Amino acid sequence: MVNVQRKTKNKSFKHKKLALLLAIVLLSGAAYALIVLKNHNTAVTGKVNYGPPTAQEKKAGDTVKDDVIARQKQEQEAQQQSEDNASANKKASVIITDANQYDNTVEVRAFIPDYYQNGTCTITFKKDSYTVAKTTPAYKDATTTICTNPLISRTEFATAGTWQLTVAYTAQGASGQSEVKNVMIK
Amino acid sequence: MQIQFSLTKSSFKKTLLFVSVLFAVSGFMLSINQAQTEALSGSSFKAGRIIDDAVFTNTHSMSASQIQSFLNAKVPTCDTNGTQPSGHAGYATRADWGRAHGAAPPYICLKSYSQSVPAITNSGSDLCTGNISAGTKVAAQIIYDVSRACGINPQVLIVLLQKEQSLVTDVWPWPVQYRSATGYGCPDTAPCDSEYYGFFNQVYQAAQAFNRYARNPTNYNYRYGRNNTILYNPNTACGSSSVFIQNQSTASLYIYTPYQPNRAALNNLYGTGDSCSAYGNRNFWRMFNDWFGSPYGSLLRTTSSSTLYYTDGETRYTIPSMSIINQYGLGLGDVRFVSQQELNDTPLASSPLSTQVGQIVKSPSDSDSDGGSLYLISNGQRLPFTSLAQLSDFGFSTADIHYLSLNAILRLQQPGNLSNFVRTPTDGTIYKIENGTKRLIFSLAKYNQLNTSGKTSLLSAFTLSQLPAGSPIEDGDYMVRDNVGSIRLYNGNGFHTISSMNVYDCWGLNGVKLYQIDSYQRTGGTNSGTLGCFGKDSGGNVFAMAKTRRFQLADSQNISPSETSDSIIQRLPTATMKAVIKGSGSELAVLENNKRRPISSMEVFSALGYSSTNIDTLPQGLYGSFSLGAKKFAPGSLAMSSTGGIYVIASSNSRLAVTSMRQFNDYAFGSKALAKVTNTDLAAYSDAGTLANIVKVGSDVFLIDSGKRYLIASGLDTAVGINRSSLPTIAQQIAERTASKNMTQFIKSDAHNTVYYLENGHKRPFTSWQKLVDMGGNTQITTLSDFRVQQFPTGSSL
Repeated sequence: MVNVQRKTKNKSFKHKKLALLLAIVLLSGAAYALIVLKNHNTAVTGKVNYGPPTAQEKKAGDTVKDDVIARQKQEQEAQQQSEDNASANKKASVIITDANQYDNTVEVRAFIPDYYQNGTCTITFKKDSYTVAKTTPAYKDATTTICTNPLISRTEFATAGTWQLTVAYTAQGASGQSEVKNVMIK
Repeated sequence: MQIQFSLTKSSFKKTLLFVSVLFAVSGFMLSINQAQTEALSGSSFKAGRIIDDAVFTNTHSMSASQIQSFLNAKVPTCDTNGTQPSGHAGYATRADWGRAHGAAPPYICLKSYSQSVPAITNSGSDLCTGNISAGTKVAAQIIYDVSRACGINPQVLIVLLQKEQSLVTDVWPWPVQYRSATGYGCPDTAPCDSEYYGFFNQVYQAAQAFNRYARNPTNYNYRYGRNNTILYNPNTACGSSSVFIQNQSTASLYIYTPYQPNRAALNNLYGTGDSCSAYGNRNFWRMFNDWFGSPYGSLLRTTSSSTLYYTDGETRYTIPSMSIINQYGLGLGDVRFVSQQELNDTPLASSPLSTQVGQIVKSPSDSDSDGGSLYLISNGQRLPFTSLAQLSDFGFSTADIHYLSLNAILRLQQPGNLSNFVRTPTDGTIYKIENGTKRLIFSLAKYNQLNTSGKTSLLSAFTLSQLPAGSPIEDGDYMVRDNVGSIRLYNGNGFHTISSMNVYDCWGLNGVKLYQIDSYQRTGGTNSGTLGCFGKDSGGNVFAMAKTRRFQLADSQNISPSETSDSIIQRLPTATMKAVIKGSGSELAVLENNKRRPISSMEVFSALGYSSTNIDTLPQGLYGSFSLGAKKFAPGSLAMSSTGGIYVIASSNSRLAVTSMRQFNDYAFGSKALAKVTNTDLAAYSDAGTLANIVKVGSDVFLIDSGKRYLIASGLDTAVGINRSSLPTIAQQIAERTASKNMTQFIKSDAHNTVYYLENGHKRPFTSWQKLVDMGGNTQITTLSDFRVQQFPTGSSL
C-alpha cells in the first residue's frame, strides 16, 4: 500500500514538472515573437505597411516635442541676440561641395549651413600672380543658403595647373569664408 | 451501438505535449522569419543612392483614400485632449506639458487635420506643372493633390512629414509641427522663415523645391553624376566624405537636407549615433523602407508579364538580357512590380532614343552637357571612348550604339576615359584590348613598358568575356602553366603542349620564362599541337633537340617534327651527332632513316668498327623519340631466327643461311655470338641464299672446311673444278674465325690414308706411294674432312 502511494505521489510530481516545462516553452516562444515583432509591423498590403505604429514610431511623437521646444528656445534667443547686437556680424561657415573643371567649364558649388539669409558669394581662384574672381548671389533654399554656381569658362584661367579656391559669403549680419581648396585646371 | 472516441490519459498528454512544442517552435520560427525578412540594416544604406528617380517621381503609388487609410492606421487613437501621461516630472499629463510650452489641447492628429487650400495654377511653370483646386481639404487630400501637381511620389511627402516633425505617428501634435511640417525654410542653426509657415505651404514648397532642383541641376550645391563633398553634421569639425550621387532624387534630398549619416548613426539605425551624427537622410531611407518597401525601382514589370523594363524616371527601355542591365549596376533587387497603368504612364523610349538599353550608349545630342560622349557601360560605370578606333579595338562598331537619355547615362559614375588596358575588379590579370581581342600581359615590367599612363579601366567579367582572347603580349620565349599543372610553350603564333618532362628536357626549357595562369582560356592564339623532341624551323629544316644542342636531321621520315618558332629552335646550338647513340639505359644504337637500330652486342659494336669515342649520349626523351628499328649487325654476325634458322649477316643489308651444323663448324662459328632475332630484325637483311664452302673473299678463293680456310691459288681452279668468276663472294668477317691454309692439288681425308690427286674437279686416288713421290705430292698433302673429300667425284686411279 505504501509503495503504491509513493508511486502515485512521484507520478503527480512528474506531471507537474512536465506541465511547468511546457508552460515555460510556450511562454518563451511567445515572448520571443513579441520582442522581435515589436518594431516590425505586420499587415503589409502590397508594398504599403498599413500596420499600427511600432513602439519607436509612437515614441517619435514625444521625442520631437523636445526638438520643438529646443528650436523655440533657439528662435527666442536668436531674436534676443539680434535685438541686442543689431550691428554684430555673425561668423558663417562656407562649405564647398564640388569644385572641378568639367570639359571647358569650371564649376563651384558651395553652401552656408549655419546662416539663413540671402547675400553674396565671392568665388576666388588664385595661382601665382593670377586671380579669377566671380560674384554670384547667395539665396535661401529649403534649409540652407546656397551660393549660385559661377560656371566659369576655362578661357578665363591664364594657365593650367593647381589653383587655390576660396568662397566667401556676405549677408546682412553675417560673413564667412571657406577653407582653401586646390582645384586642378587642365 | 454507440461508438465512443476517447483518449487515454497517456495519449492525451502526448498530444498536448506535441501541440505545445509545435506552437512554441512555430512562434520562434515566425519570429525569426519576420526578423529575417523585415530587419533593415544600416550597412545597406548607400549614400549615393538613397532613392531611385523612378520611385521618387511615381505619382501613382497611392490614391487619396489609400493615403487616408495609411494615416488612420498609423494613429489608431489620437490623444486629442492630451490626457495621457507626459513623461515629464511635474507635469502629469501631456496637456499639462503642452500648456507649459504654449501648446494647449486639443491636439489634431494628421489623419484628421484639414485646412483651407488656395487654388494653384501652374500652367507653363517650370516647377510644379499641375494645378491644385481650392477648398478645405484633409491632409491626405493635400498630400495627394500636391503629389499629382508636382510629380512627386506621395509616399515621399509622407516620409518627409514624419522625418521632419513625426507628424504621421504623433498622437498629440502641436500647432508648431504643422507650421513647419516639412522643415522647409527651417535651417538647422537658424530660426524658421515665417514666409513658409503652414501645412499646405510646407508640403507644396517642399515638392516644388524638388522640382526646382531637378530642372536646374547646375544651380545647386549637390549634383548627381558627380563626386560631391557631403558633411556628416552642421558642425563642420565632424568631417565629410566624397559621395558619387547617382541620381537627381538623391541629389535633391541632399540639397534639402545636406548631411549624410555617419557610421554611428547607421550602426544604430533606429536610435541615436554620436555627437557628429545627423539623421535626416538616414531616417528618410529607413522610414521609406519600413513603410513602402525598397526605394529602389529602376526596373519595372507587371505581375502578368515577365518583360522587364529599365526606367530613368521618365522613359522606359527594354532590356536585352540581365547581363546587360547588370552592367548598369542593376539587378533583380531593383525590380519593382507596377500596374499596367503605371507601366503605360512611363512611355516606351522612341526616336531619337533607342528602345533598348545596350552596352554602347550615347545621348541623342552632341551638345549635351557631357559633350555627346560615347560610352562603354560596364561594371556599373560609364567609360567614354576616346576615339572610334578604340570602339573598334573593343570589338564594337557604330551599329552597336544605343541612344539613352542623358539622365540615364549620367547616373553612372565615370572614373575616367576608357583605357585599352583593362582588368576586372576581382582579378588582377591585366589585358590590352586590341583589334577586338584581349591580350594577356604577364609581367608588371611589360605592362609598365606598354602603358606609360599607368591607367587601367575596370571592366566586368561579362564585358571581358565578350572579347576573344588574343595571343599574350610578352617578349621572347615563354611558357605558361595552368592550375592543373600542364605546361605550354609559346611559339610566336600559338602554344605547344609539352606532354612530359622528357620533352621539357629535350628542349632545354629551364631558363625559359614560365608564367602561372589559372586557365588557358586567357591566352588565345592557335593550338600548335603537342610538342615532341623534334622541331622544324621556318626553312623546313628538321632538328632533333637534345637539351643543350640540336642535331639537324636529313629529313623527317619516321618522326613528326613540330613546326615551331626559329627562336625556340635556335636557343640550342647545332652539333653533329656521333655514329652511335644511347639514352639513359645501356642500349647502343645507330640511327638509320631516323629509326634507332640497336646494336645487338659489343662484338657487333666492335665488328662495326666503333669505339667509345663514337658514342653520343642523348636525353632519354629524345633517344626514346626515335622509333625502334631492326637490330643492327655487322657482316659476319650470326643470328638465329625464332624458328631456329641460323644466318650469317653477309653485308649491311643481306644474310646467308647456314645450311648445317657441319657448315657452322666449318666456319668455326661456334666461337661467335649468336643473337636471337625477330622476324622484323631478319627482314632488315635480305635473303642472299645459302652459305657456300667454296667462296671468294675479296680476290681470293677459299675452301672452308673444319674451321680452316684453304686458299685456292688461281692455278688450281681447273684441278679443283671451280670457275672463280662465278663463285659467291662473302665478307671477310664471315671466314675470319677460320685458320688460314693453302690448298694443294693433293688431298686426303682425315678419316682415311688414301691420297688423291685433284684433276678437273675429280679426285684420282694414288695406288702407290712411289707414284705420289714421283708426282711431288708427298710433301704437300692437304688433309680435309672426309665429308669434304667425298664431295669430289672419284676419277681413275694413278
